[in-house]
Amino acid sequence: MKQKLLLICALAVSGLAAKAQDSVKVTSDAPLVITGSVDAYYKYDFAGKKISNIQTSFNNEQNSMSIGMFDLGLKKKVGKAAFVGEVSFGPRSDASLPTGSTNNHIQNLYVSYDFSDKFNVTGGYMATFVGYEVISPTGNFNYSTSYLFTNGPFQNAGVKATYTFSDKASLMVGIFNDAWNVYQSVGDVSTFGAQLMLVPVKNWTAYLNFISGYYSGTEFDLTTNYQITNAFKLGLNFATYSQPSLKSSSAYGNGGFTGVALYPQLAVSKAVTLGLRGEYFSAKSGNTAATYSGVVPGESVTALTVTANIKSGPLTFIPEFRFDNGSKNMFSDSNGLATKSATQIGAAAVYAF
Amino acid sequence: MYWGGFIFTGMKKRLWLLMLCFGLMNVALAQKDSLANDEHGKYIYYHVVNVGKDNADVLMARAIVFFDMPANKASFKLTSKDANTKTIDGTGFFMVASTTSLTKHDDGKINFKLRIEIKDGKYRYWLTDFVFIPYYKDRYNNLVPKPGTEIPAEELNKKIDNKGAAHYLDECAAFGIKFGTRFKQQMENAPVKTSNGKKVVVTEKW
Repeated sequence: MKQKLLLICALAVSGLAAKAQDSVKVTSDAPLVITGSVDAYYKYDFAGKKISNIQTSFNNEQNSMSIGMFDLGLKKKVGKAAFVGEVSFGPRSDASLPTGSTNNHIQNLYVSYDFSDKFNVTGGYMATFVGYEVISPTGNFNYSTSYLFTNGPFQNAGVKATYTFSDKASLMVGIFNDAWNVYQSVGDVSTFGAQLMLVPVKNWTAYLNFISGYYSGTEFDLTTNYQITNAFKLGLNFATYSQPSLKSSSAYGNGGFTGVALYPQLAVSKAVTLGLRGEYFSAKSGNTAATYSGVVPGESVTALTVTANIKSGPLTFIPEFRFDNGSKNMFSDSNGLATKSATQIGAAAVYAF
Repeated sequence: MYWGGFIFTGMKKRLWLLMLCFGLMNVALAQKDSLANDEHGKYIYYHVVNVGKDNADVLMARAIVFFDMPANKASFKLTSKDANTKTIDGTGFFMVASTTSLTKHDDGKINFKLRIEIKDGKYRYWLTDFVFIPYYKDRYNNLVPKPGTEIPAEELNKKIDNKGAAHYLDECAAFGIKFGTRFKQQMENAPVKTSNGKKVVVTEKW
């Protein structure tokens, strides 16, 4: 009896050995995919205690151990159909969503269908296709954000169709709610959007973006990244925006903005990458032109941000130094007086899963 | 010595214990020792398999069918074949999951090249030129390939952390074992024949 039991155990272990070899998947079987992140930061503006000087998005709390957001995303694809649902909570989330009016906390909520290997249609509430930087801290190299990001759209709810010509070119066209960053349109679904993706040479990807509507205005945007060597990457974002002429629109005016940002990044080791963001942003003139992030019509700002990404597995530590200099006084100094420049240092920790 | 309440005495008991240990070793070694280096310093998964009396033409036909099988079409691609030299070249890929994520999801993709050479009664194959393409989460919450980033397996230790590099190399070996098992099943089976336009399975040999 004892010998039979030992034989059974030995066979069972050998069977486990065979199963261990046979259990490796060749391709993903599309389980429910769960991803997300959490982030926290400290920022100090040299102007003093609680002056929120640089008016770009997020990390605006001064001299405080602060939180960014908790982000959780789900995706499931079965055959040709997929859904994505992504929620977020925290100050960064509140600043990136129309949460105040609805308490929805939705970053992405859409369904998608592959009519063929080349043609896809997606509809719902989606992150905008415009711009270089994104809301999630895991998607940006710098922890602070640019003026171009802050003043462009964050989300566009609508329907879009994408045709992939090859792995080097694709075209997206879509129709979106009249207003940007809203869960519900103000009046109709009348914003037209398009994106042309090109890979001119290997490791160089460029996106030409266009979004236009009578309610929210018109923006042209170029976003591109070129991995020039294994260690060095260069990114570029250029955009120009014109306000809508519809007087009933909250964005009404005869102004807009133009800006360009350069993002050189150098991997100095497998754990450490150093990066620079150099941005020039100007607000267009006009008697009904708007002010953007403290940049008044006819004026401009130059922002220089030095950032490091220090990775350890899923955790990234991000120390950062930022110097913004306006064409006119647009910041406050430590005495509360108007001044042309602002300087900030900070550090953030971002955990992605 | 006690194990599960039983007392081990005598040669028979030692033999059972040896079998048990051998089985446990197989689990541990199944993946670790299968990835080698070729003469060019590239990682390679290499095997020679004897299949008995089947001639090279039959084996060649079976090997080509492998690439046409629905289960394999998505991840394997036949790039060239030579009926004279009985060689087949192909490419393929498999997904790898993160070891650090709280939840399992695709961390990247590994591309590889496949070479099959056939003779009467035997064949050999190798997988090499493993290249890791990391994935990242885009603004739409999709995991997609990171543009401009392709890491040959031989450079993994220079580009990513050691634990991650070791994991991906293990995955290459594990995939090689998995491929070998599936390919052997195909090479030992009779090819599908057709009769009056309908597919039939030959059952006389299995």
